Amino acid sequence: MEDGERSERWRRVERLYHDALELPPAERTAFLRDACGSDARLRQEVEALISVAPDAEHFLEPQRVAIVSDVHVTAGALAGCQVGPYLVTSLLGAGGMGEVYRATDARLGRDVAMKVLSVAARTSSDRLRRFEQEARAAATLSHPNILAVFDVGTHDGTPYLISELLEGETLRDRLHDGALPVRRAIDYAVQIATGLAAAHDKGIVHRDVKPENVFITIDGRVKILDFGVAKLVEDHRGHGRQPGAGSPLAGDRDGTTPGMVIGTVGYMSPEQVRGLRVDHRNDIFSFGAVLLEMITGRRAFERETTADTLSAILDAEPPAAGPADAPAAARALHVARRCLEKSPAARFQRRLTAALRMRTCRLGSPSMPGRCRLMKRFRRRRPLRQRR
Amino acid sequence: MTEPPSDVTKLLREWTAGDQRALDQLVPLVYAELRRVARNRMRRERPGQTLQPTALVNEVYVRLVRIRSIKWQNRAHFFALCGRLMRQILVDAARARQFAKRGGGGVRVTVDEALLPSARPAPDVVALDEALTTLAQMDARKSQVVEMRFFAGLSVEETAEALGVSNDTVSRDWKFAKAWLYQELGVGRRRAQ
Repeated sequence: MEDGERSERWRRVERLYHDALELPPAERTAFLRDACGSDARLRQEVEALISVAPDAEHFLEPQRVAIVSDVHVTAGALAGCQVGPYLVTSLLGAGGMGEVYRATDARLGRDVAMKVLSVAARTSSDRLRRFEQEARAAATLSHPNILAVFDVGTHDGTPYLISELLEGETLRDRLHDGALPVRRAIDYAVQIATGLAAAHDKGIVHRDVKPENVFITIDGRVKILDFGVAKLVEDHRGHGRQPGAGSPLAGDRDGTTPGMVIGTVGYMSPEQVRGLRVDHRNDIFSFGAVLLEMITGRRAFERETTADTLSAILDAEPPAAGPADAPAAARALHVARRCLEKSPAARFQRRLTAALRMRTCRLGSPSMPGRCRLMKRFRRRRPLRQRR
Repeated sequence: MTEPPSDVTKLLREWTAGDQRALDQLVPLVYAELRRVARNRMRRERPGQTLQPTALVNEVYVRLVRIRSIKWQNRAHFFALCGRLMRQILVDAARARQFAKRGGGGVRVTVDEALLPSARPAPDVVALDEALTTLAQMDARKSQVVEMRFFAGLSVEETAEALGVSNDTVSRDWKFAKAWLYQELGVGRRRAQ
């Protein structure tokens, strides 16, 4: 067959393929018989392609869940079940990493939250180990600004984690309508910084601080969630590596990755983006990004694609305060920008300095009554550390 | 981070403007960086995890290109190039693996093996490569679409941008190419290796 003839035939096959697929299956045979006339081979060719079309649908499509593929959602199956000492009452939410249920601890007569991971057999022991590690990390942290983990166990091979039950919403939800009032933003920021400082004091780096992982209870208490990718600093000291979970580039640019929330990359530090070893200053950076977003209502490094966001984290200056900003907002932005320094060494060095700067920020703005009262509460909570 | 080779951005710009010699210089740079990043990432990942080509390509992009001074057109070209190179890397690795299996000696290819985009069912990369070459003879654009979508992990929109065609065209190309390749590779009745 001549080249021209061949490509002409190719185009015909393709056109017929698309046209036929747009028809209901029952009409396709008649359509192709008409369209191909006496050319039986042409018809067979198109029919063969159409017959594999449903199977080919997923062919070559990358499984976007690759990084988290060892975890699958169990689809609400546990509601109504007795799991160890816990009676599961209802499903609260589900995501790529598993599900969260409301449950009752019969022994203590209290309601708790149960996070459940369903685990594919292949990597179960590994994932379970990490899950328990997460529980241990969180359990060593008893702090009012960190979600309290009570228990961990397995039920029919499915690991679960019991934590305090919270009522409220995430900071992400809270930011839905844009910036927060400055005073509230600063209040939340102090609480976040205080919780992080407590983790850092125990040598635990959260590594995934973002509005999705900051929960605000209905009485205004901030709880830091999900130490799932947290790491004991000692753990990788000397190894110089971290596991790949929370890896900056695993996310999908069109945001369809199950278990990966789009925008996560926007809170990573430059060292995390580069895959270097991270320490507590990584969290300080993420904290700065969250603070900036609370004040401005915009993400510090929001760009069109992941690649652009990542490069902005590496190169771009975060937005600065403008002349229109209130003095308190301007000061808070100044703190955020110090946290967002590209070089970890240029950020606040002392673990609590960020929190202390927040205090300065509050005290320095006399137009806000009530701030001092809040500050006293803060001071009472951590008297020793502040004197350090 | 070490400074990116200063000429990558410049070469990219020249290539986009039509200078084929710039491409000749660009290829080894990008190829080396893709492999290097793949190795580094593999060392950090837990065993059993799969790397996503998209992630690698993005990382290489961030490392190599001075992003502030680049237009989207250049960027699309960069990703298109990465798709081609990823194909090369994966096929080389698969060939080396087959060679090693036949007693060809201690060739270690685990890094690149793990690079394979996890797809269902997993395609035989060498056979896919050959089928793509056949496809390119009949319809070069479809072969490019597959390179960009599968090997570089680009979205339909990005692929369309890189090729200068509509999203709809890319979608149709992709759909048809998948069916054709599926049939060509006889995925259902693949020979045992």
